[in-house]
Amino acid sequence: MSNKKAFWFFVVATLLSAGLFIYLTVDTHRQVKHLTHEDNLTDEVIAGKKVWEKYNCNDCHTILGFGGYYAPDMTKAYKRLGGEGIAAIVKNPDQIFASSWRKMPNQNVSDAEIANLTSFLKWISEINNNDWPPQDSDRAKAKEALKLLSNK
Amino acid sequence: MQYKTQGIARSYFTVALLLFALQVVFGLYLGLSYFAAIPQNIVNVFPFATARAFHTNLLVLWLLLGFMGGAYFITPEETKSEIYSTKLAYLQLILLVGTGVTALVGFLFGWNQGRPLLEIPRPLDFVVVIGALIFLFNIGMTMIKARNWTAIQGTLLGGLVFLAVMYLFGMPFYKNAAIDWYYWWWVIHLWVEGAWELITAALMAFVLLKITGVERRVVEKWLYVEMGLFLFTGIAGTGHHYYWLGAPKYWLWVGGIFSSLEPVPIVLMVYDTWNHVKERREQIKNPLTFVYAVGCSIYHLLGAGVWGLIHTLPQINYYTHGSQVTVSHGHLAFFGAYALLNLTLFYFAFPQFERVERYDEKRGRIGFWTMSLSMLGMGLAFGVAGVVQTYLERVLGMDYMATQSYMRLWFQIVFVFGLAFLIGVIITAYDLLKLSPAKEAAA
Repeated sequence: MSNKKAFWFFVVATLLSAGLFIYLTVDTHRQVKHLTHEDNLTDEVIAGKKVWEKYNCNDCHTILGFGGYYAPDMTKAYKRLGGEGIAAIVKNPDQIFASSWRKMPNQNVSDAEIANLTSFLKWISEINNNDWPPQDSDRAKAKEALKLLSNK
Repeated sequence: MQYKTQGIARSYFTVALLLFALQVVFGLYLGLSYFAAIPQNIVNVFPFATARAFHTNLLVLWLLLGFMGGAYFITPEETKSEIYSTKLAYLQLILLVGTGVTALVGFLFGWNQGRPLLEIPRPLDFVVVIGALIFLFNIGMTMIKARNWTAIQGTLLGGLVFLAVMYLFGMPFYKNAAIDWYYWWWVIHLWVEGAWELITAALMAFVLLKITGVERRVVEKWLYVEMGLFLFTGIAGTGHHYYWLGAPKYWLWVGGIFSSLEPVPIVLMVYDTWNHVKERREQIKNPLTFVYAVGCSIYHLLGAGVWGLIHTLPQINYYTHGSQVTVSHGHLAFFGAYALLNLTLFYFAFPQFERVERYDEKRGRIGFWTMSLSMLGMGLAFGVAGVVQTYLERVLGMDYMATQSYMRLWFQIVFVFGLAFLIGVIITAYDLLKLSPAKEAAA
């Protein structure tokens, strides 16, 4: 292969991949509105996202699987713990994790902030994200139950 | 060193080495936190999250300073002219290091954007942009004024502009968290599997050209082919991060197919590095530089290529996503691809700063092998912890903390390897900064 051909190979390969990527990005923007229920993106949810960021929750917890791996994933935390469960933990982590060898900092989050944070986590839990994470998947649990029943 | 302004790189590399050591110290604290019970009153003041922000931001900062120093080092030789402005280069270094220090102190007091790896508060983002613009202007002007274009220069400049442009996508506040992560990956993925690969390819091509004496035409041909393949697989390969964030289903196909091909250019890079070394025309002056260059390409393939490939398919990633498997991949890939690349360049440049033609390699070799083997140990231990987590938590549905207790032993092993790694880093940094001439040469 000559250097000129190698150069054109580089240009064409890059443009093909970038073209596909940009086209799909435009389409993703179109579809993400429904997949994430953007209609439910209220002021409280947005304020809750700011609370999540203000206290740097994401460097210990993952959300949608991204972030720190030090504490449980928060994608479906609302389904697991409910609003009250989340509020209790954020308010008094020192008491809730008193006997745990891994602690959560008490950051003195206000009640209003906790309410917004819970709205945000509720909204996140409703995103249609191909049923991830597996440990919180209803479908996986239903499958397990069916398996158990069929083996009785 | 043929040009005076290449010496600018020395300050960049020195700061980078110190930050590298500091990064590893915070890494050890993270490692400790994974298995030891840190008291609540310490956690309240200095949580894991803050230490992680230190660890990852120091990583990004030292690697970027290394790349920038690398650009200041190779541009004069490639363009056959001095850097446009030495003052601007030092101003930029002060600006970026100042921003870094301010950000780290800020993290301690909760001044934080709250987005992993992009924690630097937004006002400081603008200072970073100014620093980047000064840098691009300085390098760009040097190249434009010299009018001595080469493929290596073009690739380097292209990679640096690509890097700077992608940073902008991480700056806005996105209301929708799914869109936020979508563009977060434009920064992170398109850096490490796009822009940084271009910079790596250019810097590595330069070092190989100089130490092997292989014809420029041959090196540049490989450079084009590798870049084409890196960007072809890497750009659409971003899709492997879009499986579970609320994006359309076709990303499972696009991400799976393109990212499975991502190891191809790395295999090619190992092959051509090996070939260039085999067909070298220059005498080997400092074998350690070769060890670093070949070691970097092999480790790059292992950490980024193989470790990436094993969990990139959606069928596997469904279970491993966001687990310690990712941590294992992250450590091996960043060390293999980018830390070793920077160190290869440092070992090429420092003897020239010191005007030492042949240096004593003993200490440097101990440093290389201590770092490389202990990082491999860390990567493997994180990997086992990841498999345990995947199976117990993701497949069997065991509680998060119950699973973590089964992983504790592996975190202890990570910590021991981490200590060894820190020793390797200290030996390497000391060796580079206090390079001594080889005994025969001195005699």
